[in-house]
Amino acid sequence: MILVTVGTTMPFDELLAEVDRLAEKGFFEGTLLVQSGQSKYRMRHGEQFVGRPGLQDLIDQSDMVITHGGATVIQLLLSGKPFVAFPNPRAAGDHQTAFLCQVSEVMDISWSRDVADLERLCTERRKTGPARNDGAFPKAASLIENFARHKKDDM
Amino acid sequence: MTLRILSVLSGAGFTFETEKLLEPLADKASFIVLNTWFGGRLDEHRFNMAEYISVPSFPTVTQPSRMQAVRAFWQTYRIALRAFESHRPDLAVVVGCSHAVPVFLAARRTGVATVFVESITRCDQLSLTGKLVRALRLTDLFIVQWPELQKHYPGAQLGSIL
Repeated sequence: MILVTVGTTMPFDELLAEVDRLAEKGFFEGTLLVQSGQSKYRMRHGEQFVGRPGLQDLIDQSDMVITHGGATVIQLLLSGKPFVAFPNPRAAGDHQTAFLCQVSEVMDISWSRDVADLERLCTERRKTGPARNDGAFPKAASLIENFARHKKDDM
Repeated sequence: MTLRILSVLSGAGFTFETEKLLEPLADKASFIVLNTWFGGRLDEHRFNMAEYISVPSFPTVTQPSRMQAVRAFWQTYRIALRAFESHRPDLAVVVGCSHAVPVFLAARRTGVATVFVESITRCDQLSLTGKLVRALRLTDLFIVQWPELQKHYPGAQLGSIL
């Protein structure tokens, strides 16, 4: 199964149109499932839905995921799922581009600003498999726990 | 130490980030969650849930509606205030989303400590919500997830959901 997800807050019609174009020429194998959020584009191929409370079960079932540059990228890295990502240029401050740039410095993700690269990136990712998660980060939860402990001690 | 934590699930990436953030605390806390329709739920097998309370979604970047935003803000504030008064949590923890502002205002009024974690998708500048809660001094602990962002915002702590 190929899962496409573009988030729920912004349209990403150009990415959906490119997925549809490749589906038309038979590029994708298996079921195509498209979470389209605020997008206006109506898919001619695959099954389309606006959104749902969680995507993890669909991610687990998919062979490849095509995504916008949101936090889903981290979800996919942690799930060990092959994916390609495209920053949605409508995001405030173009932060999705900055985010994918930053992630690509510590992990070998496949991404591009240009949706025309979709076919090339999918082909590349099919060969290389899931991206490696080499990032080493301090845990925010530890900071919160320490903070809460100090607060309780002060009371 | 058993904590009571109030948090927000507002959907998509924010829900994922919140669940990842709270996972290491699952055995050490009980949770009160304000959730939107798209917000989903925490894994009931892992998290000790006290209550889910519905809150409205905020309008999106592409569908701005001032009236809807004001209504969502006011409703969220009132709902959060009631939740703080009835549950008396130790902490309010919010990842990234707009709900942080009314929730933290309610937390300030009830004397509950606040923690804001900027979304992992923000690596070179804060979100509008992050800027607001910082400018209004609504957070007791402000966490960013990228070293580059920490450099720009003195006092921010570096910590990740990963």
